[in-house]
Amino acid sequence: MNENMQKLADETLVARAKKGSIEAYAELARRAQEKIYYTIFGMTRNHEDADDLTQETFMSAYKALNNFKLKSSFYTWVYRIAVNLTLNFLKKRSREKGREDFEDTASIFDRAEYAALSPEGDSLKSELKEKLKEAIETIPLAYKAAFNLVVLQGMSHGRAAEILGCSENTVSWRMHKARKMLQACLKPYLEGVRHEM
Amino acid sequence: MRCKKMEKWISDRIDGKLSEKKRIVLDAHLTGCASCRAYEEHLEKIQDEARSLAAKAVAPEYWQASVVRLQAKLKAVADGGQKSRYHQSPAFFPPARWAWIGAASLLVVALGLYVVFFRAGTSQEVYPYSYEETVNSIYREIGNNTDLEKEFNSALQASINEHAGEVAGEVNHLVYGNSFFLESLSEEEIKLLDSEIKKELKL
Repeated sequence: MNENMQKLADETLVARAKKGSIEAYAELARRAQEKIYYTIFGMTRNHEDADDLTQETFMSAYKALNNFKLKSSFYTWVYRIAVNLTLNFLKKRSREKGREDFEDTASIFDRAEYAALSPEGDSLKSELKEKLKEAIETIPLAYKAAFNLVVLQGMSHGRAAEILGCSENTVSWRMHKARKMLQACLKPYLEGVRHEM
Repeated sequence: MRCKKMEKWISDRIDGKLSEKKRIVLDAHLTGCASCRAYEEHLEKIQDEARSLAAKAVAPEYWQASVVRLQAKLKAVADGGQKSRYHQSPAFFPPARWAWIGAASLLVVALGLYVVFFRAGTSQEVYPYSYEETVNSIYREIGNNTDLEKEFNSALQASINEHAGEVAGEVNHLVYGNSFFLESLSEEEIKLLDSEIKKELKL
């Protein structure tokens, strides 16, 4: 990587990338890729998918670079692309699996899927972490995206709202709903487990 | 109801979004509500476990390799002539849309032909003859039969009188039935109308 590029500000790199500098764009990607990857990984829980989607995110962003008007930071813009691509990917995968992942959350507690999470249903997968991974997989995508950005990526509600294209109150509400869903399906594992400060 | 509200506040507090005022209310509620205390404990446990899921597990070399791969893809795009596809403005009519545009044009042409030929042809068939042609053809049929000619003339005259009466009625209705008719005329038009009426009435 060109050392001169590493000293340049994001805005300068964006301007150069818009003029066709691949090196400038690669430097922008280098700076953002880790966060983008882990954001995607948090939603897909799969390295191959996260790797492919990260590459696709940067290719898509490069393709649309002339439409980027610097109204937000480059990273917020790329985050938004990454989240949208990942949500589309998960929707497609969900359709392929024939899962009804996007129905109203009201019926989520009734799903047969949760039966598999009960201690009696699967004694091998007894660890809370494993069950949490499975439970996160089952919550609706809008809630999963918010949960991923706020809890796994440590973002504020405001930043998550900017990326998800909704209000802070919506993020706050989605977080509450996501936690409530997770708590409902993990309850058997949470009982008796002491919270370690 | 109160517990449902408190559950939302518990979630907000975990994310650092609860105001001080609400925090005091929440703490007071938790003191007396075992169910909400258990709920808060569960959420904190979930939070801890979820954070551990986000542990960085990818080797540092991966990031460098990933950028190299991306750069190679971008260069391939640029060298392969696809750069222009990425960086030029989108075509006004992308190729896939030409089929739709062609189909729409054909439909417009077909409708135009239908209107010009079919509809126009229909209207000509309804009125094949003029008034004069019709009357003349009847006279030709009558020939030298004076009785028949007399009968036809009287029927024609009665028809004309009847029609004239209808028209006169319409005119009368227009002139006298409309209280604003005279007001809408200019002074010259009123004078002309007056002279015509006098002439008609031979005054």
